[in-house]
Amino acid sequence: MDDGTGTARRGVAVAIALALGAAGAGFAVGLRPQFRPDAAVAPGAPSSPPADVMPATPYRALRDRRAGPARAVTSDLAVLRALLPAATDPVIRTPGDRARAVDARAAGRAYDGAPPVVPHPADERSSAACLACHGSGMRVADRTAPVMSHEPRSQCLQCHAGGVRTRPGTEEVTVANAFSGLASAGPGARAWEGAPPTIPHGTWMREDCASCHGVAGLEGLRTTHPARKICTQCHVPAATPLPFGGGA
Amino acid sequence: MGSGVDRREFLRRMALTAAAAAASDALPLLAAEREAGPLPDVPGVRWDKAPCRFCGTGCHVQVGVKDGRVVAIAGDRQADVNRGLLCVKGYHVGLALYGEDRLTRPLLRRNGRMVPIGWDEAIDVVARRIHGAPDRFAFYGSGQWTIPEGYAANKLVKGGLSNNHIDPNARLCMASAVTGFLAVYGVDEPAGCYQDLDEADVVILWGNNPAEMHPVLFSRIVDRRSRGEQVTLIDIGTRRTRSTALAQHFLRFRPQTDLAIANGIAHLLLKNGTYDKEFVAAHCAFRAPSDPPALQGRAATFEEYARMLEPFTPAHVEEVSGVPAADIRMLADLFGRRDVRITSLWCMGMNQHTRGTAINALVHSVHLLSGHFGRPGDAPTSLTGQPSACGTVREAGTLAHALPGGGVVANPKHRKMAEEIWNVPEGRIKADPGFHSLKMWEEFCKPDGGIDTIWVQVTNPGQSLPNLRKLFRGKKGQAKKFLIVSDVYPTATTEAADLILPSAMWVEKNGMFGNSERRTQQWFKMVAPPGSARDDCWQTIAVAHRLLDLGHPGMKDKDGRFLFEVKDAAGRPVPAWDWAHYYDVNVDKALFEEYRRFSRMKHKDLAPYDEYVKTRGLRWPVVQQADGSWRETRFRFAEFDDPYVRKGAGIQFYHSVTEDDRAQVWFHPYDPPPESPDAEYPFWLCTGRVVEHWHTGTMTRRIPQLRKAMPEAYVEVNPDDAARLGIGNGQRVAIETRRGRIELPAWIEGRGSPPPGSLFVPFFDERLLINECTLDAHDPFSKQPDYKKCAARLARV
Repeated sequence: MDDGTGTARRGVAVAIALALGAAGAGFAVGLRPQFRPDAAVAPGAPSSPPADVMPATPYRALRDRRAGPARAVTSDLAVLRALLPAATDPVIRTPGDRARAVDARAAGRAYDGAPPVVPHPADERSSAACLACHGSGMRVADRTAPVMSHEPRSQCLQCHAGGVRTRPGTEEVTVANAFSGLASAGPGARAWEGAPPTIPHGTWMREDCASCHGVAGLEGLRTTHPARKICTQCHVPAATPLPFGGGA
Repeated sequence: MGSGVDRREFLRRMALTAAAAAASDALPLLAAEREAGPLPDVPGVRWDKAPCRFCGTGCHVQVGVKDGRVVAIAGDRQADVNRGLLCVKGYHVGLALYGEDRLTRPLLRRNGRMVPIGWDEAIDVVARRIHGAPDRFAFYGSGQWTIPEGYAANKLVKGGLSNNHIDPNARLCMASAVTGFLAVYGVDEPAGCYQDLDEADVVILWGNNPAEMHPVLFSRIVDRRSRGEQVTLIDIGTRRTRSTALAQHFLRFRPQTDLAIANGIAHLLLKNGTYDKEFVAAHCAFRAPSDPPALQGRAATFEEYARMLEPFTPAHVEEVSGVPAADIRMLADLFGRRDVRITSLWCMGMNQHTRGTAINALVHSVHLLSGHFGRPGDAPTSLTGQPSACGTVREAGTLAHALPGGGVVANPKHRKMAEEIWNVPEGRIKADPGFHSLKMWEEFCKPDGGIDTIWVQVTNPGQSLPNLRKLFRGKKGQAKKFLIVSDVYPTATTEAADLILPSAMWVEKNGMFGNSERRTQQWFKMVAPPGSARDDCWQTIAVAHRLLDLGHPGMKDKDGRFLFEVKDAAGRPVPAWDWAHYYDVNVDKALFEEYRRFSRMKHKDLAPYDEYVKTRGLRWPVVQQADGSWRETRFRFAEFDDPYVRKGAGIQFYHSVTEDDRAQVWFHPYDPPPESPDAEYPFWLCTGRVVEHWHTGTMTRRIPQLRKAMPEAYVEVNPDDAARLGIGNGQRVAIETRRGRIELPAWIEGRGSPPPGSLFVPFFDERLLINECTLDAHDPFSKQPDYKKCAARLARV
């Protein structure tokens, strides 16, 4: 690597850092309140809140108050990103981890290859908040925000259905549907013991292997060698030719 | 335009840039693989193509089938419409087949209870109802009918029963787009195609929220920004939506005043001399409303046209519409420029409008006047909400006044052509149009009305008709009236049915759709329908054959053959009315090959069935080349692409109503809506859709992922109104209009935000029927009702 490239790399790194900072700010700015208690206050409304309503705490106080269940949680994006394992950290995989990871993936989607539903409230109008965490991946306590498996697109909720209710006052629903989705393809085949396994699943919209197999991936699915970037150098997609011949 | 990037937009772009930079460093799959990456190779899974079941975008999906059941869906990368991408509904379309309450047996009402009966009896009941009074029978269909289904129903009613009482739910969604095209170009459907979305510099949304209603098309526009392209999005709307969030400009107008905005643009184009003089001189004529009113109006001179536009100064338009005069000037300046390409998009906002024909004509006129027409990216484009509103309704002509291929029953030449193709005696087809949708249901609900029996296929009028008490509920308790419903799930319509016929849906049958950009699409049956559910098309043919047995003379052609005779490869008739033999031949192909003969008349040429099998759809006119291949047309009326344009003409409107190859530039005045807020009912009520649910939700509400994301209907209330009325987020409120009242939860600053004095309610929820409240006032030409504005009041409950 010559000096010019190095400088360029540093430049890119700085630019990315700045941009991520701005993304973080965008996240904060972009979040709209899901609840508008102020909108509910009407002239003549009762002045004392019902007993089951938690008294409001100023945001300033929240920052310093770390007593509740969220005490282990930081909202500093830089700190959170730093919590991800390094590419050089050893990875230990167990069959149990893998089974749990496969189950966790299956629980969040209708079939293998379906876009996962969003397991948390999401901003109804903007994708900026999605990108703040899923743009590069993040870990918060035992929850992982995987990096997007595909190139960034502008409308996250176009494909990812909100998986939890984002509105107040809505009921819990159960839907009787007998659909049984395609299961995870299982581990890729190896030509011999020690050979790199094939890629057993489709790769459309799953171009970034790091989404599941990288450092922010689920335990049990992570690669032992996250430092290597060109996955298909060694891992071959086990593919069926497009089943339908015609078309442009 | 430069000031359009605000702080939010800047932050959004920064976020995207950051993500792109991070991602581009680490996408390990090679570009070539991304282009043509494989589908998963799973033992026992077979993949095949189909268009999505839901909206009019016409995305193609790959359907994964294992052990006779759909197990997976993938976006189809070979499809030019969606290029591998889908939306939440599309990714879950396979689940729509497996709701546990699928209808699996015919059910007949006996002594107030629905009891299972066999198919033979069910078909006999339908045929005897029709045979008893053919003139008092109506067929109510859908833009979700496949093309062969709609064509068969149309032929049964017009060519067999001779009564013309067939109309589709599409009357409620795109009839005004049709009359708009007819008034301006003399022939229906958009001239452009989705490629316009890739090439436009400016996209204008006229009362349109494609981020939720046509998400794949909206992404096609806004994803261009991620690639560094500039595209200016202007949202002209009555409330803020997800689409507004990505628009540089939001022009909020008072309901109905879009007419004044369009006139304001035309006014400035003339005043500033920035209209396209060459284009207008070569390709346009002028038109104004006539007295008595007629769809084609009357010819006007340029001077008259200019005079009629005189009052629409920016100041006047601001006063009427609430849109600042500066924004009207911005729009006029954009249209006045020759160096930008402008695409206008609209859907229900302009169509569900008591002046729907007028506003459609005016938006086309602004594009024609300014020459923003006929180049890729310069297009006035209406979007459709149903997968085959274009293919089955507009092209196969399943409307009360229409014939296949763009013909009308009132035209003797068109009737003659249809009688020839159907080989029926002259005079078989009646010249009087049948009842349009609203009239049909009104006549059905009135005790002494002209319709006693309605057969509904593939739609849910018990939820989607406006003013339900008047147009649907009136049937209840009238022994003389009989409602037949073919459907896949229990709905608000089957609840009132006397006979329910369980239908096959989507990939449980062969089918063809036609999407918003003139693209005809085909798919094959992949899985069996549940229980004894059967194809709608078979149901129609079986009833026709039973009528033949009963001696109805209309079920025979001139030569005494059955109207729906289908032959096998050896030329022997196949008893397709017998379910056991229905799939012995491809009935879809037989019907399509017959229907296709109609398509040349209006230059909507369709290719042979087998060409559609090979492709992800073809856009008509599809014209055979010297080498025998078939070529689709992306840009109609434009010489560079449309083979029917005369060489050297540049642009040729070859179905011009003035028969001189000119399109009509219209003037229409602004008129106030039939009902506006007043002291008693102080709010505007607008209804619409959400991304998760498709129309009346009968399919999507049975898909867990979609139902959980959007469990029930709500009313969007402006925060100021909510504060004033003491309404909190999630609180149940009552909406009341002069026609009905419902209670539902309020959502404040949620997905969309209406301005003060406005409410928005989606109509997908069968338990919260907002159409109890809506108005049945409709456009005088298209007969399409206005679901977008009426007066309502709101209160806590």
